[in-house]
Amino acid sequence: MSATLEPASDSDEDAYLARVLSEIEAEVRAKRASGELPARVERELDELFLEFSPVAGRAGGLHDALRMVDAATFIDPVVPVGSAKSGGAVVKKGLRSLSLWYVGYITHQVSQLATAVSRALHILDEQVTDLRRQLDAQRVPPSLVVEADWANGPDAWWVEEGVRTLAAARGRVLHTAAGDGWLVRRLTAEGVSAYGVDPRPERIERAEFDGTDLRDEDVVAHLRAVESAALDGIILSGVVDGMTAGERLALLDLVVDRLSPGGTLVVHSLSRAGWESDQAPVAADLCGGHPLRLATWSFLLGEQGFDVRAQPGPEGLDYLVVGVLGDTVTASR
Amino acid sequence: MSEPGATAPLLPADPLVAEALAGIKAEFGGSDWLCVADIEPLSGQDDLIKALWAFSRLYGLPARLHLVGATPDGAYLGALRDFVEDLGLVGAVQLVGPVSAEIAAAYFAAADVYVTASVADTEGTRRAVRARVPVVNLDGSDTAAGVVLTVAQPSLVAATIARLLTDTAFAAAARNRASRGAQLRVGPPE
Repeated sequence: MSATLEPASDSDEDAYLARVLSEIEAEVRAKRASGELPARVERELDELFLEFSPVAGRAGGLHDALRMVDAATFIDPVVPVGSAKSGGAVVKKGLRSLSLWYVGYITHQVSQLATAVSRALHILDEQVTDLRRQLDAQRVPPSLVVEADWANGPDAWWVEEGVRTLAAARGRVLHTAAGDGWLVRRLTAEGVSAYGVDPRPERIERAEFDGTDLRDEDVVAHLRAVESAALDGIILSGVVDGMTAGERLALLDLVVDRLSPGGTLVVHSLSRAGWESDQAPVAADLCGGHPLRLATWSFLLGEQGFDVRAQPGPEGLDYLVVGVLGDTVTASR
Repeated sequence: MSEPGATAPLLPADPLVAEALAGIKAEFGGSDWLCVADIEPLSGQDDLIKALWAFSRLYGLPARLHLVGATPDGAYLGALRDFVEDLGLVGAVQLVGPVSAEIAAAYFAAADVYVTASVADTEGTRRAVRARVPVVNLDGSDTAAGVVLTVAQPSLVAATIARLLTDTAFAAAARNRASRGAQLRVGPPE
């Protein structure tokens, strides 16, 4: 950014300001997408301050806030009369005596109102606490990256097909969950402009020194920050397996929007049989959802306008789905 | 806001404070951000600190945030101190506290940008407008003046201030709008 000449007229200024404001918004979008300041980090800033905040603090929450309300409920009509000025205290005391009946009448009513509000808040607090207890008991665990050594690595059966499918991509290609970047490096070696996203920082850190473009981000948060039609390819491996139906559909909506016309989606997932087998990773038992059947993916992607081809793994423990987005769908979004 | 661009004469700035602020700028460079409002949760100084942190991370430029105002809420002040320390911004954020009008005038004279997150902060905004300091308001309300951000998103604040500091035409337009009580609304990117 650099200094700019001032516009000559009001209409010039309006046009100039509209351009500047859109440039600022575009710059923020680019910085978030590039990973310089992901949306997740901005949310963490808020959470960090809440840790220090006197209200909703470290272990507090509504209880702490209610204590502050309780402490402020009583309004004292007897104002202090101290004064640094000579005779000031006498004057103030006289004024207080003259107005106490009036101020006392008002503060009594305000205190009554505050007490009633405080009581209502305590009842709400009890109900919210009870609801939270019930919700915790039925909590759906967040989906985890489900990664098996035999299915998510450079020697897995589906990798050649995935790379071949995307080798001709001219724009950016995203792989998630990217792990230490094994597939991103492979795609890059084929001349593909690939980068990776993974929500597990410890996996990214291992790959930080070889220059591979990897970002420590949740896939949904990352895709939200990406512009519409900005990606030529998306590879989802170890991501959709354990998602709940709602999470999966929300992700699919984002994928459809972020892929360019003719863009390619590659999905690798464990099958139901693989999910139930002893070869499945521990994460499979800890997720709220379970893998879809191959036919269901074909149906879902077909509904979204993808031209789909599906391939089960050699032992039936996993599968690969490749979808190419049609131009008509993307044109109408 | 009523008469944000009132043309009352500027107060004389405290010479010692003015000299100290000028000396710091000469030695370390960068920009001075100012907020003059009671340091309490309603004023949202924590949002300004988050924005300064984002500015430092995104642009790598030195900047100092001066928080001037009474400190009626000790717990909030303590939380801000802990937050500043945790973000590594000790030295960049000055919790100045309450000052005389002359000292405040020195801060206004040294400020490159006036930032506020409080709709109640009409006096500070009015004085910034009088001192021809560009105003960035994080409150997003319809009554705010200057560059008004519809959300207090740190990266958006940082990018807006970076542009104000480097684009003289934008800064001039922002000052003109603020002096007329008008707004320049900046929304969040999708």
